[in-house]
Amino acid sequence: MSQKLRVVLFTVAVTIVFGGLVSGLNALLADRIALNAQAARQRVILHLLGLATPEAAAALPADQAAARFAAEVRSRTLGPGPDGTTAVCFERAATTAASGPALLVFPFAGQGFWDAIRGYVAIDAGSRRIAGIVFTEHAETPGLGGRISEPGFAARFQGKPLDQPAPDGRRLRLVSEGSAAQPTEIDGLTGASETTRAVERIINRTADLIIALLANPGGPQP
Amino acid sequence: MSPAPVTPSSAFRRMLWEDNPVLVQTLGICSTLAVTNLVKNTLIMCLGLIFTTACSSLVIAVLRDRIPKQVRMMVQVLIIAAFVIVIKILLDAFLPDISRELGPYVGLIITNCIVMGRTEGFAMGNRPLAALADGLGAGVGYSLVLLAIAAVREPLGLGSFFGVPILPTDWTRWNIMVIAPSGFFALATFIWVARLVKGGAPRPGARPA
Repeated sequence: MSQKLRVVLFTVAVTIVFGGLVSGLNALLADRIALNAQAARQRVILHLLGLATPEAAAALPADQAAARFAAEVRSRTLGPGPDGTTAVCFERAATTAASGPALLVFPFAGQGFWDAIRGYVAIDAGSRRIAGIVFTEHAETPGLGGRISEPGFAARFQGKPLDQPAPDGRRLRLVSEGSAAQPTEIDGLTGASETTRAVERIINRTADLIIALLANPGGPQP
Repeated sequence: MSPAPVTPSSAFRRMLWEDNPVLVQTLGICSTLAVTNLVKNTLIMCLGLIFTTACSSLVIAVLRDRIPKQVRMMVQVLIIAAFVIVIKILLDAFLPDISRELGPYVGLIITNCIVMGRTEGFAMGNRPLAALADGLGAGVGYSLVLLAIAAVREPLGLGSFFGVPILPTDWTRWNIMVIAPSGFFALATFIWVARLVKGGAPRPGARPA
């Protein structure tokens, strides 16, 4: 066997063996990984809809999170808005017209400093205020921008109104940490200016969409 | 007469101090700067690196006589990458919260110079057991240094250790301790102290004070 052929065959063989090992393990655990990701989303939505405390939601095993989500939460499509956009949101399954303004949970996503920032925001559809927010995925600098996933940062958004846009169009402004004084101002993160700007951009874009869709909800759809 | 083969125990011990990959060889610096602001992330990263270095060194040593020289580095990278992806899949499946927190760091083990340094520098020329011990030693030696640095950076930068607050609530966080430059300072200090303790001959070419 020629040396060149031997090199090629060896390379192909090693690639098949180790590629197969990785693919096999991935195939073996794919369902479990998908279940983990889905359970993580469901725990966040249960918490934002007030159906479980953050600690209780985090402690729910994947199967129980799925069962409670199926029983207590329903999805709803809002829109189309002025530009034809629709959005899927989540609300309590027990919500009725008689039970008052709904709490709606919307997913959001946008570019952060290093990578995408994703999460969910709960809006009180009656008062148009933020009822809660959780940043579920990001790759911001640990200890600096990474603090967006801390409960203390999320608490700064609590009760903030989305229906009072400033002349420049921003509904919420993230300002220097410790200097928020107006109802539409939120303390940013010291040492993480780019992350703070990214969060402000993402939240305002999401808020624009939500307010537009709430003005023209299009009715609940199964 | 060829030199006597390295024993597994001496291969392991040498990497802890005498040839420590971080303090002596100054390898694996990227991750040293990136993850040592949190002890928990550092520990998981270290466990991942120990697993990768040990497994890849063992496999490369087993295959060392069959790997064609022309493609040896490509084969090493492929094997290292496979083990790293295995870690990522296992974390996603069994420790999803930690996997989310570590984000891209686990994948970056592939580019850690220590892993390829040990496979190319040791495993390609030694027996499997010695290579396994060398890989384990390199991983443990790397981990000891990183955990020591993290044990300084997290309390000063965030007031906590392993996520548990240990300093008063009015503690002013040293923001610089959680960003990469402080990793440089901390690492340089550790290397300086280690070399003072080790003593020995000055670097070739170093001028006397």
